[in-house]
Amino acid sequence: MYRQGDVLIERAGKRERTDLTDERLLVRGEGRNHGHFITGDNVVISVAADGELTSGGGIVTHYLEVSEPCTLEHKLIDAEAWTGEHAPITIPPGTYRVIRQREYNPYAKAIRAVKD
Amino acid sequence: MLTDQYLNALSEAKENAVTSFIQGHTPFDSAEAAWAVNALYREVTGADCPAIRLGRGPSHAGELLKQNLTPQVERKNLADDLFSFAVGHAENCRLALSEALPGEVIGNLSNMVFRDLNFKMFRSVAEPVMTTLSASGHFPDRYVLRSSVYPSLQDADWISYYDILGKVFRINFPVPAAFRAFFTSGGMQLFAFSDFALLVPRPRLISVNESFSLHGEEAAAVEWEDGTKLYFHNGVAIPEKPVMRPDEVTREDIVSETNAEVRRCYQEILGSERFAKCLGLVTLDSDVDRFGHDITLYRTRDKDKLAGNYIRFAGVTCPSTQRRYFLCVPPHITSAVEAVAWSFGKTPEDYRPEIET
Repeated sequence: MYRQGDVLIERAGKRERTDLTDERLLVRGEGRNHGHFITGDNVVISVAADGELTSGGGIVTHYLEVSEPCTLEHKLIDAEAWTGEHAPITIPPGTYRVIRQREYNPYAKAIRAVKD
Repeated sequence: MLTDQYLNALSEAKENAVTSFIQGHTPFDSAEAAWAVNALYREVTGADCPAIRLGRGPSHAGELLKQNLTPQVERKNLADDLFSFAVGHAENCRLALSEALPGEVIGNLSNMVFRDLNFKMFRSVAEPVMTTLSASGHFPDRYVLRSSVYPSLQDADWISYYDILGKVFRINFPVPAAFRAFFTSGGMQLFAFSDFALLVPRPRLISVNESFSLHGEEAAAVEWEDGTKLYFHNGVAIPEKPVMRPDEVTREDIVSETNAEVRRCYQEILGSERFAKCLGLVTLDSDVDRFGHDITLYRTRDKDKLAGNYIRFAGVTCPSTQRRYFLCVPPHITSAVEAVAWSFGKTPEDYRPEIET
């Protein structure tokens, strides 16, 4: 289990490949010019179903199939350079799910992703 | 019947109508507006309007309305007559459509075109703008109801619908030229009385988010020439202060707000940290996570009347910047560790990151 700011990556069981994407930006800071990117040649990224949650209610955004180590990096979106915040994390081979941090709104009694 | 050629033409005409409705403000054409007002008056009174007043926006129009509503004059509000006139023509348009096209096609058009126009023009923009204006105090109380003002921006969807179908299928719909001219001249709202008419122009700015909800990021979402401004956060009408001067928001501003939706917007705009600090906090639990960072569970000093409970926040430290930030958590959370685990859908037992940056 690896955490980079508002993103948690944990091991998951093998799953069918659906909704594959080439987009390396996993989570974008809301209204900000930075986000969490996955880099490396040997990773297959699939987008989770809209509204998909873990059994504990965690907000699932993606699944990763990593066949050779890849890196989770926090970068500027336009320059694709490290933001200087949240050091890169090396992810070893395996299947993972990406979970986004959530918070509660007491007025709507609703849960939503954190605005990083 | 609905070939690709028709579908493309409908889609293009619909997009143009919506774009022009949201962004296509043209300077108010007072001559065309006056023509439209006189034509509407001739339909319901048989004569031109005795006097036409033009407001530059809701605030200016409100002043003109108060000045012109002199108590000694007996006057009739013509809104009902104009409404009946419009209903008659809308019904004639419906009949013309049913004669021109098969029922199945009309059903498809209604789903594909009208629903979208209704959502983007009426539900997302016209209705919230008119409702918010009604509550804004610009106009005397008895003239704020929809039934006392006609026509208004709220008619733009059906007029556009018949315009689009008329062009694409070459059907001559009996939409009165005066109605169309009222909108193309830049009119938003007509106060029509037997002795004078007051016309309020459309906003010079309408700003919506990607879901077509009224939204202004550090700016008004709707603005008129006379300086009247309305503020919206993702479709919710909110005061000016959290949008333009969020640093000045006080605890009093938040707790005196009686609308839960608006208070939710305060939390979203200020962020949980500022919001929590504004409300005042009591520490419930302090701990240190496995990387040595302080984590704290707080609750608000007072019960929040709208939320029906104390509001709880987790105060956590970013491992890379050492910045403290706040997350709002549900009321059943009782420890700082549980709060952090909850934010990823985990329990304290199964939240075990090996690396955290």
